[in-house]
Amino acid sequence: MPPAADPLSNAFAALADPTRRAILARLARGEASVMELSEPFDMSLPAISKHLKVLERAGLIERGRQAQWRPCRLNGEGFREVHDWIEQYRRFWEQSFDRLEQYLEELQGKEKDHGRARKN
Amino acid sequence: MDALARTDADSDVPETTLLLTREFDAAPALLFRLWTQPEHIVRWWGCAEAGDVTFTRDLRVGGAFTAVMKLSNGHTHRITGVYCKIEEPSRLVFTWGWENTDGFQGGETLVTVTFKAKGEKTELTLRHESFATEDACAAHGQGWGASLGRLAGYLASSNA
Repeated sequence: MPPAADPLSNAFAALADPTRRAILARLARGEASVMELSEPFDMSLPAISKHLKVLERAGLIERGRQAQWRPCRLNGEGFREVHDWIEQYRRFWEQSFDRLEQYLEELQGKEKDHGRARKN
Repeated sequence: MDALARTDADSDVPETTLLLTREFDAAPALLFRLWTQPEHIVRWWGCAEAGDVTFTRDLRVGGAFTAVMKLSNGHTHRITGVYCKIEEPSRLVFTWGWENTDGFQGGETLVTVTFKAKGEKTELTLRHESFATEDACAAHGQGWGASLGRLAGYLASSNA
């Protein structure tokens, strides 16, 4: 994975992989060890560990600090950032749509005093 | 992986994908023009506080566009992307990268706009997917599974 400029790019780059998303989906059911996480995949433990490192660096998971059993779990804060990021786009487009609606009315002239364009 | 992803197959729209629908009182052909011709685009593109908008584009598949918005507070937003699909008058797909002077960098994302005739009106659907790679154009349509929608739901419900 190429180094990214900011944490969100890291998060999205980490999410852009089916194995990592499957790992996250598994962790949504509860914490798990590397061994448990590797079970559904035809993949070596080092390969899984590599994916976990990417997820951890992206702030999407955390790992316990006990030496042997280092359970992985989701990091809610990382996901919240992803969600907030989406909200910026929502705001951009909804406001653009409002303006588009107004502009359309302008373009089409004043023929319609009735039946104004409506949102749904 | 498949088994996990499939459990979410019915929730088509993950939480990390923005999906908006609005009906406009015009035919798809007109709306498509408003989305592709710079002289129209600058009249509506941008958030409420967008002042001066400049828009340049090379309207062909693989062609680039740049939108620069100067906000009333003096900040500048710059959006660049590449057209992936241009299917007049029903669909427009482009990548989208966002930077602003606050240091916000959105990474590359993918936008799909569809224009569907509904009588004399148009139902416009916008899908903004929260990440894309250089392969965004090629990958478009494959989707990336809905497991994140489930995750986000889980996180919301468990106040993780």
